[in-house]
Amino acid sequence: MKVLEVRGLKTGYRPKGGAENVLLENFNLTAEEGELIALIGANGAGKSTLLRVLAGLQEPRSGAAEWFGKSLPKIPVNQRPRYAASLFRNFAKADGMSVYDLVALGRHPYTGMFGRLRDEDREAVEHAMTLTGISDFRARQAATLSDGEFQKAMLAKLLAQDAPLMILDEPATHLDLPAAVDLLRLLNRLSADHGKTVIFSTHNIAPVFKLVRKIILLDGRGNYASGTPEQLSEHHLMCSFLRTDKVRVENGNLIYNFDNK
Amino acid sequence: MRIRFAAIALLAGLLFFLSIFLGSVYVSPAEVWQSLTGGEAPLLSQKIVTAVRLPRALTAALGGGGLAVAGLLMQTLFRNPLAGPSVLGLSSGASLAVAVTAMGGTGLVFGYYTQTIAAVIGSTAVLLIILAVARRFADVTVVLIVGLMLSFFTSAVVGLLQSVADESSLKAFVYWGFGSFAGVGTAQMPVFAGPVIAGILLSALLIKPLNALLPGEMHAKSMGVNTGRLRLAVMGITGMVTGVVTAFCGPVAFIGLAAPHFARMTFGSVNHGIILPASLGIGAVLGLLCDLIARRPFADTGIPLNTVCAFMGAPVVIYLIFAGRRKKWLI
Repeated sequence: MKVLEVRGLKTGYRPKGGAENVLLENFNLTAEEGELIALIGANGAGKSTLLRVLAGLQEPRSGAAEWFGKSLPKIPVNQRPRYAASLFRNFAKADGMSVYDLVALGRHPYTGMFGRLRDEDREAVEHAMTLTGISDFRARQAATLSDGEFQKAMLAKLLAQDAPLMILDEPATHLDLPAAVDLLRLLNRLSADHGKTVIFSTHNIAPVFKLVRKIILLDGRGNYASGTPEQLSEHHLMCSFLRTDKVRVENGNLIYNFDNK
Repeated sequence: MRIRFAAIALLAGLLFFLSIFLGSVYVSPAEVWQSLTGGEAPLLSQKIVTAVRLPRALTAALGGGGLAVAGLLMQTLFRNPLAGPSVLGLSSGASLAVAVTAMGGTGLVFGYYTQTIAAVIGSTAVLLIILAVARRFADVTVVLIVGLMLSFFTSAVVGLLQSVADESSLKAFVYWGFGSFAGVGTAQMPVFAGPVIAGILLSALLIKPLNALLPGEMHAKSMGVNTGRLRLAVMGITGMVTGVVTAFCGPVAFIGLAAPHFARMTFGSVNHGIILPASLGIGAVLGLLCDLIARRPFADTGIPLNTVCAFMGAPVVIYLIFAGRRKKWLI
């Protein structure tokens, strides 16, 4: 089933009185059920912008995203959290909230008018905390967590939301390398075993090339490349992104010469 | 949690009855009880209880509770522990309007209703300005700063009016500024209680979106909250409740600011499902308590309500904010 589809998408911005700055043009993407897609590219290449558009949180310059075959503008805003859960980085640290309360926010789309949790909601919260390994922090104040722990709590919130489409903007930020790889494995498991469609952006390209089968690279000037790690390694955008003249993949390991220029 | 809610309810109930049973005129408890239950009691006692003390206690409880709810909504919306009904400039707008009618030589007969209507117009006018600013600027800090500046501006105009006012109207205005829960009689009660209760009930509908707002506006949007509409709803409720309470009771200070902090501290939570009713209850307790102290039931003369509120409120708010920063239960 097509979970997410975009055709001819254009993103960018126009500074007041300035010329239009196109980040991405003629972008097409179809994401099937259970697919895991990594989004990579330099800082400012428009990864977050694209993810916000896909999550329905920002209007594209042209084109439109479809969720489950339905054009996004036709899905009422208050129903969207049941279809897609998204995690962006500019959130406040939720002072005063316990970790449990924070994760429980993910159950909002399913609770009644006053947000009271039922047994199944509590189960989903427990499950999400177990998956992300934060069960021991449940009673701690979210504001006292380290950045990495807080990131895991937000991730657990996203899992508790239990939406078929998950959109994550740099979920591995603040995580140590093993934790970042664990996260990638978790996303892999969510897509493979639970049929979630997961799209995330990251700067950690080495583990992505090893563990993810579909990668999209943005260059921030309107172009993009998409494909398997092997296909991408042969694309000229990959060389210019890494500022090198040769990229290859060997046994899933990304190999390139970074002092070439 | 239930025990703490029960304790707040008990305390509010106790203070409510205390303020009905106590007063500068002695009415025996038996007579009070008979007046309340419609039994046989001397006419004077009956009048004192049902026409003076009961409406006053109701006003204190509702006014305190309403201001507390307004304060909580604003603290969450502005992500600022110092936001409160008086900070947005609503009470200042009301003050200015009252000052104009009282001292501006408008030729209006200075009376109870002129004052009330003027206060409502004043706070509504400020609310409209704030709403216009909120529409143009997504940033809530801008709105907060504009509100603060508006209150500086209005107090400057009030100061100007005071400097030229004659003695009797100056006195009347100063008395209004003292604040009092005594101004709502049985006849005015529906006009006072209606909007305040409506505001409190409407705010219960905002529990979920306000919770979603706690980790930031982006999070709220990703949870399907229409943040623009939420902002309008909070402003509308806050403006209505503050406007009406200020009109009838004067610019009551500190209760709206302090009660939500008390609620967070008492319950160790920022979940609005808990602290909205808690703020309401604690606001009612504070309103009744401040009023009881201000009336000094065992003395002949009272002291201004706002004096009591500030004496109790200012140190408490400082303590709450220090403690809250340490324990991280603050917004």
